Amino acid sequence: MRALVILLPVLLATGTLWSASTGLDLAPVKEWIANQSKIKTIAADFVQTRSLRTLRSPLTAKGKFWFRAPGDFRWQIGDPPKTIVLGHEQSVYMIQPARKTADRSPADVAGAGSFDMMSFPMAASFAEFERRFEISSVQANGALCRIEGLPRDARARRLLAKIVLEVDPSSGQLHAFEAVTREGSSLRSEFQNVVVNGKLAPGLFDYDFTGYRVTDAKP
Amino acid sequence: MRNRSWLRILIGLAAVAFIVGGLARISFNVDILRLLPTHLPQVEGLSLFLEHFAQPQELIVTLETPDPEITQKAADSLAEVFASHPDLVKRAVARAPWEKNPIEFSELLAFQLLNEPPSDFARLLEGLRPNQAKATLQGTVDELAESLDPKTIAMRSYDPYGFTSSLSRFAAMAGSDEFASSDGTFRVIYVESAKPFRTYVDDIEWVTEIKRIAAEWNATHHVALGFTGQAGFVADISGNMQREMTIAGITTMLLIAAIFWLCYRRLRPLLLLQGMLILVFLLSLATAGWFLDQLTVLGVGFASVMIGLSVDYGYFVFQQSLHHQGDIRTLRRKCFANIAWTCSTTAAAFFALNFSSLPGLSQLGNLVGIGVLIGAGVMLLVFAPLALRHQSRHPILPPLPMERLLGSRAFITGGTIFTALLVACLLGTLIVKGLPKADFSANTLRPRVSDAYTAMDRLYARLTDDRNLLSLIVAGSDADQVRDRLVSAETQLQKAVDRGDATSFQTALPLWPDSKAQPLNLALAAPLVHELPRLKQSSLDAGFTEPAFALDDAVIRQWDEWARRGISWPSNSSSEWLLRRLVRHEGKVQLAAGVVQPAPGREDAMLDAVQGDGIYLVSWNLLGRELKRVVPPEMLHVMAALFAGVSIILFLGLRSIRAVAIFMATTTLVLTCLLGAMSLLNLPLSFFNLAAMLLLLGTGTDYSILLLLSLRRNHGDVDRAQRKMGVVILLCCASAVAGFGSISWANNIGLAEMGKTCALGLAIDALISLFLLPLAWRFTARKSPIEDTKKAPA
Repeated sequence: MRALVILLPVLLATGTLWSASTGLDLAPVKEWIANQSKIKTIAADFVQTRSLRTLRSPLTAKGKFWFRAPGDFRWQIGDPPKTIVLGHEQSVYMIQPARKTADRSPADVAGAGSFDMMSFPMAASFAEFERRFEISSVQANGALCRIEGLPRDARARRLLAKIVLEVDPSSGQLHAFEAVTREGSSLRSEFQNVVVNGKLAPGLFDYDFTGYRVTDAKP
Repeated sequence: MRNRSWLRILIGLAAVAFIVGGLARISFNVDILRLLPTHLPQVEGLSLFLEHFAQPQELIVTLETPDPEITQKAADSLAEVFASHPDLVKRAVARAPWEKNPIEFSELLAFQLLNEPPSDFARLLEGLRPNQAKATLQGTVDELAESLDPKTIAMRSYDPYGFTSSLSRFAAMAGSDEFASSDGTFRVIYVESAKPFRTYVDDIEWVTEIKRIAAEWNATHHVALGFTGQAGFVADISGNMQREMTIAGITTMLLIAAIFWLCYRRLRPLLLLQGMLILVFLLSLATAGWFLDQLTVLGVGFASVMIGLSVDYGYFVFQQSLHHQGDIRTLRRKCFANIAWTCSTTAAAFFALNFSSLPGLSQLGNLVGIGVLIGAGVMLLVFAPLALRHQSRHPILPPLPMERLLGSRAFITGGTIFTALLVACLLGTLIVKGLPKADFSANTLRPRVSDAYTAMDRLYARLTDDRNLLSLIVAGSDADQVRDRLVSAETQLQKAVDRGDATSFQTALPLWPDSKAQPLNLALAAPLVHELPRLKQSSLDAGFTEPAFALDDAVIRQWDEWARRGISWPSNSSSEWLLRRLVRHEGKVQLAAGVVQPAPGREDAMLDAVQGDGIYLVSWNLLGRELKRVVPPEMLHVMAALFAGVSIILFLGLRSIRAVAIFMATTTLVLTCLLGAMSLLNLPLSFFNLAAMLLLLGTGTDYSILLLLSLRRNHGDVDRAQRKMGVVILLCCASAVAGFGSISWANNIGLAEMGKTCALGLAIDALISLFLLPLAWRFTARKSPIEDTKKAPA
């Protein structure tokens, strides 16, 4: 149970990428990273599937995701939203509207970095990508590419068994992300109705905290 | 004659018994709070915290490697090795106890839930009723599907009925991870001694043995090890104190020997004087052992200071014996007045430290005060006849080379020019650089070098740094009183959060028993044990697996057990581990702890944010702020009183306004120059240095007093007075500087600063008294020549 407490930030940390190993065809990965830099905005729906050892069948939840370069994002689950994650370059808020609470973390501390995956590009270059992540397999699946591996970061490796990314190298889009823990739980997010570089509603990345209890999360 | 021999033997035996008995009673206290004013709330609160929550029997062993898996295996392996020595180790904990058995959480959770307000508790149980259980379970499933909060997911997935909804209040206090850094490359083992430590020696021996076992194990593992924690600090600091006391004492003795040799070039009286100093040291230390409490880290400095001061009487007696023609009685009579005069002013200055509210300084003052009185007695009663006998058998004929040097015009002129330039330079520095910077932080109380501190700093860097947090300590005579005070403290803390002075707080209130709520809640909860099969089946039907219900099942069974046997404090290994830093419910005083995160830059505002009987909000930073507010004004008052006292005594003794005015001007100039020297050498103005200035008033003023007395005796003949007192002042100054100087290298930062400041001040005082004071006398003599012809008192 305690391991899960430590693990979950990492489960969410889909931005924790991995680096190339020898003998793999890394061209699709390089193409995917190169094309990510073309993304200025994203609007997408997603389905999140969570498998826990304490539940006999996986749980699913629907949500929406918006991104605006260079570092604004909004990730919300449920309709009306039960949980909203609102990120800016400086800070990340985890908001629970029903409870009128919000936890604020500086964007550069561990935990807040769990939401790295919501920013694009995930790595500035393939070299950086390789420095941070270890790729164990790359498989082409039609237009998509399935990348498996583990982050080099020791904290993440303590908890994760593997991370899977399903990407479209030609558009730079992320189609699905999955993190599997050593404990056996997993979290998979599949993106649908993805609109790249479309116009986003104004005020989407602002939030009115009037009446909310905002607390600073511990570093 | 025979009777006298017996008397001497009896006195000797009594002295030996006194020394042996006193030394056997000596013990050290490394608690730096013992140095500070006990009436300050910060000191009182921190003392309670250290006494009850600092785990004095515990050594923290840190391990570090580049690989997390290797570090974890190494920690497990070393913990096993420690645990295989049950004679030494009660327990060696390398992982949180609940990692092995998470269900152990149930005991503490069950206890905490019983403290909930009965209406909230009834609402919780309402969700378990047959008609509500399905909705409760569906709520949990929805939360697990939609939550992004890791804690919520982790807890609720093992708690389908939502018992842990209030658990978060203390989960944060349990610490994110006390055992490993986030990357796993740094781990910690908590090792507890099998037996309580009776003295610091037991502590040192135990820590040494644990380190030896760890070193043996590490011969094949090659892990970076560190040792800290309360047991580590005590072993480190008390070991240092023991060493420093010996080294500083020996260094002072050697320096004094060198000074004596330079001056007199005689081995036998040198050895005699050294023997006397050892005797004085042993008698003083034994007296401390018999009559004073444990020696604090400041008290350790007394040996060298006291030796440096006591030797003055030896020099004086020996110098007088060189010129003496009569028997021992007349020599003693001749020396008595001068020794009594200087000894009493020095002892008075040191005893005056009792007016300070710093117990550490008071102890140092008492030790040195006793030491100089014993020193004066030993030199007059034991050393004087030995010195006289030596002089009669191996006469040293004056004038000595040193006397000839001091009597030369060139030396006096050179010394005067040098001193005038030095004074100008120091005053110039003071004008240009300003006063020394003030440092009243608790840093001056810690050792300069300590493996335990180094390991703790590493632990702060790698694991968790709680130095900016404030600790809340709530004390009471019974559980109800502690709870009432906790409620009051939380109310005040919430106001501080609302004002923006604090960002968050956690207290032990959720865990503290509520004697009114517990029986009411337990009466409602106890029958649930009969509904366990239904509750379990419902959770399975909702999609949970069997392990998911284990925690809720254990909580309900725990309530049933307490309903049958009565409620007691949680005591399984997980509960004990979590509660050890939060509550103390045994003994006459019951205590609860908490932590408060102050808002950045608002620490000062938190000093008075929480008030009430038995409620303390403390931290080392707040202590520094409180000391800065309280101690300097108090020190200045003591200094002013002492200065006034010495001036009045001097006026009564000399009956000369001019002499007193010159004395006051000299002392003021000395203190001003000292401030310049401190500014030049970047010595901070701390409470130890304020104490050093206080000591200067007692010891350094002797030099100007001696010269003023000599001027009176020599009817204002400045050259003659300088010649006669020059040797004595230089010898006294050199030995006192040696004494204080030898503690400049002490490991305790405050003690070392005090040594440096005193040594500097004494040197400046001696130079000004010997070379500039006579100029002032000569200058003022032209205006009031009548006083010079008056006769001096005895």
